[in-house]
Amino acid sequence: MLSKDVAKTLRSRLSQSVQRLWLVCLCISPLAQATDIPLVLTDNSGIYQQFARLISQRTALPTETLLLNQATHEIRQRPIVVAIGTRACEELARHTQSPTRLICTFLPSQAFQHLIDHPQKADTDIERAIDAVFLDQPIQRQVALARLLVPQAKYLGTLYGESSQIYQTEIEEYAQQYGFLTLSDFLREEGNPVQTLTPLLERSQVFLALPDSTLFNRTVTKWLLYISLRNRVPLIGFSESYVDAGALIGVYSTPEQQAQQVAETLSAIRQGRSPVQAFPQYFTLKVNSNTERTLRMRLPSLDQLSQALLQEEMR
Amino acid sequence: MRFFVFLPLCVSCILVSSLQAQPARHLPDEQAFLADIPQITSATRFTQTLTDAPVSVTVIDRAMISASGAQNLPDLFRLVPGFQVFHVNTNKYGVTYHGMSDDFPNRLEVMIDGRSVYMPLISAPDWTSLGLHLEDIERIEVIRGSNTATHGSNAFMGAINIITRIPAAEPRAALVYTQGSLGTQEGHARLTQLTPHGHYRLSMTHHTNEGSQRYQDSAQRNYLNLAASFTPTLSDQIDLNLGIDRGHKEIGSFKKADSIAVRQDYEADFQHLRWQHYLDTHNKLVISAYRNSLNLKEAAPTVYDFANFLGFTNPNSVQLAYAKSTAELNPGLRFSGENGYTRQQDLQVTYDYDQSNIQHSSGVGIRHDLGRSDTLFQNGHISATRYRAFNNFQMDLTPEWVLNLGALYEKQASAADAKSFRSALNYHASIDTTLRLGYSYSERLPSLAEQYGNASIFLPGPTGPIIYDQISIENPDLKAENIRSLELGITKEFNRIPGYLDLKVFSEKVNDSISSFWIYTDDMEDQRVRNNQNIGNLQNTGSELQLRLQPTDKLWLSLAYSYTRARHEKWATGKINKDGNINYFNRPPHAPRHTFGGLVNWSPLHNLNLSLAHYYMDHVFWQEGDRKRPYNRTDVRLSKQWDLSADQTLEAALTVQNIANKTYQEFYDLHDFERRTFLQLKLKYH
Repeated sequence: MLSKDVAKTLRSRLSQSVQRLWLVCLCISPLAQATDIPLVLTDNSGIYQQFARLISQRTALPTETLLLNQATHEIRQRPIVVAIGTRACEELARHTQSPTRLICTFLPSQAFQHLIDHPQKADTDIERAIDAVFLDQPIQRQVALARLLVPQAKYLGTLYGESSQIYQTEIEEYAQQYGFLTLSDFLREEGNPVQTLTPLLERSQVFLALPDSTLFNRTVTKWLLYISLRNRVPLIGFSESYVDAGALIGVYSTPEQQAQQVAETLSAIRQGRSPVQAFPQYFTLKVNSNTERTLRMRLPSLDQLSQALLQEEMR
Repeated sequence: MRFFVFLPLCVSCILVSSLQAQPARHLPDEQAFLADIPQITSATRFTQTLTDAPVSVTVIDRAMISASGAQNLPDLFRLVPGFQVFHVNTNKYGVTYHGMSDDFPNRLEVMIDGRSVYMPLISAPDWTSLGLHLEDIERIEVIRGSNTATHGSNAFMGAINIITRIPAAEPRAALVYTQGSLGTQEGHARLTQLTPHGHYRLSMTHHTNEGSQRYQDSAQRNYLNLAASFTPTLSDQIDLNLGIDRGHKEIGSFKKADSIAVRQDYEADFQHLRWQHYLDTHNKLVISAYRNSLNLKEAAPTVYDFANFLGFTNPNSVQLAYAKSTAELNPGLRFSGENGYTRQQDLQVTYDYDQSNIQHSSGVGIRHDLGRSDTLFQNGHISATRYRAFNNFQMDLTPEWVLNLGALYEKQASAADAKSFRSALNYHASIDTTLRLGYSYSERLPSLAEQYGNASIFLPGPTGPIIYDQISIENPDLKAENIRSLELGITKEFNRIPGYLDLKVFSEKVNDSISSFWIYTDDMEDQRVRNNQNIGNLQNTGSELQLRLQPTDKLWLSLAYSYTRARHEKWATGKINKDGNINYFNRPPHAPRHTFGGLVNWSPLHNLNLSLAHYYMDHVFWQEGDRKRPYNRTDVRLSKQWDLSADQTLEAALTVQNIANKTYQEFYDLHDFERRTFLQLKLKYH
């Protein structure tokens, strides 16, 4: 037992030392003011740093970038705090108090939903207390895109995992609205993705990929790309790398577009807006021209598709 | 040195164990949206972007494979900076990095999906019995620089990992027919099918060619491979590869116009099973087991061959009886010497850890090599068991700084051990510019053939057999050779035009190099016997450049250039005279000073493709071969595709190699590479 305790203490100290080393390496402005808006990063990966820089560039308000473990009591009491990434959102939601306004960004809506479903503070109504800008696209946008891609398609396919299951009701509603019949299945962690996907893709005329857990995405994405291509089913991906890997088209928001929306949220909060959880307002479409050729499709131009989607959303 | 090997191993283990205290997450987070497509895995065993890798890496993708017009696998490595490729015979090739080679380049690891195909019997891969068609390949990752810290001894100068196509990503069926120069005819068929658990692919090839006009060094091959991929659960992936390759080729040492090619029959097969299991989002266990076997068979010389060898041009019955006795005394004697059976069995367990700013791969492995050859190992069958432990670690210190550490320890049972380590620091100076400083120390254990090669020719004597010619003797005390490498690299990605430039300058010094050495003996033939010793010392300095550009959707190019200044004090062969004095046969250069490989591809229409490749190699002296003059070679390829129906496409491709028809030689002075033309038809069912 003693040796276990010693090992645990050593491990903890080593972990702290490593974190301190990172702190030293981080370029933090020495002139940070107590009124600056803290942009709190989940970790020090380049993507979070870059996103924080983009927010700073797009807002007129003073900001300060720091890591989650640097978010001291004083930081958490500032009037507005921005949490970048799921873990930063979870931690800060637990430790910020009214009247501090917390904006969670750079996280999927399911992660936020989980936070709501499993609140760490019994007396907090998170939905009413926190602003959020999600990474994932609104379901309507995705289903509308499916309809624009394949106007004559009857069957829209989707595969749900434990996390993406929450989209099911909304997808079925919008699928009906856009004249689709849905084909879907549910894949558990112990399920066989090939056995599940193959019959689904053999009958689908267009397929919607949904973000789920990392494990789900890592395994399912590969097979989804292969089997959809083999069955010549247009696949709609949720990230740029999905398109690069072989999806016909992707609808996603770039970090620049996300940062713009966060900057606008900051302005709105300053003007007294109540908390809002929002899907991305700005989005990008990207087509994989190799896949387009393989599927022998001729898609409308991306501008036409974007305009059509915006019109759909304004209806 | 032991300290430096184990330090990175210990540090990374401690760091990883401390960081793994965090609970595993099964919930979605932003990583689902941020995950990049895997780029390379061969440098460290875990997935990295090119700019985070600790060494220079070149990726040859399917587009390059098709556009190059290559008719065999080694030809592709002409497009890699610092690599040299040569036809020893029409159907026997050598691939080496930074020269220093004979007809069996022995300092480069070659793998297929992580399975080593380095054959300890010949201390090199046998490129014509791999059971692999160019159509089977998805991409090739080439590690330019010592990679023993990841892949062990054989990756002394670098490593090649050939990654095969995933069955599910292929058309349902394809038929490929090729006809062309050297009397080449090849038929290839591939079929993919879906099973309840995953996909499998069957690939079959029949190939014949008549060889060069002067030597008729022909070949015939029949091979078949099966690849199957199963994903029984979200956490498990099982890959199975089986293959068999049978045939024959004519090989020889073509130093003279009247040199003859001898027929070598071969039988090769392999089995490779790989299981990946995700313990959770960040932790993965990989178990890999494989077996390779290769049987090279050259027919024994006849009694008349022995009589001729003994100088009996028109042997009488007494002379024939003597020749027969000589044949009985030398059952393993063959003209080529490449005769025997070898088998490798390998088992490896790897544990991978991957978090946003830390990646880590560690594991243990055991390998059993067997060599059985009356020709090469006259003292009996040889086998060796090697154990290894390794660790590779990448940490993003800050968004700008990336640290890579790696170490590997190998121990051959009751023989030498080898320790290797590598460190590299990558600095992302901007979003498109990365600087890399890398240092490695690597050791290579000798192969079975290098350590235990033992052959003599006996004659019947009045009181028993007497040694006529002692060809080679074993050296059980042979140690590992070592290399110290330092490289500084810069990678610049272009924004306006997609593409990147990779430039590196390097310095590498090889010590205790395992070198073939003549020592004095009192045999009847030449009073010398070949023996491998740790005596070579050589140094390479230079620079390498790789440029990939895609100016438009229809045009892309890939250029590879290398400048190598090769110096040596003692090189591959030397001689210890009767009086004990040593003479070294230092015949420079052991590496060409300039090499170039360029490929431009243009697709004016979606179904029309035109590509142009050019290769240049400077002066070089290949051991066992000849001093080669510089050569230029230009290849062109034109292909057109037709959609026959909704599910069928037909492609016709015409390739002309050495279009200028300036006949040149790659290894032997008299073995020509003249203009060659090939027509290929490919029918695909989607």
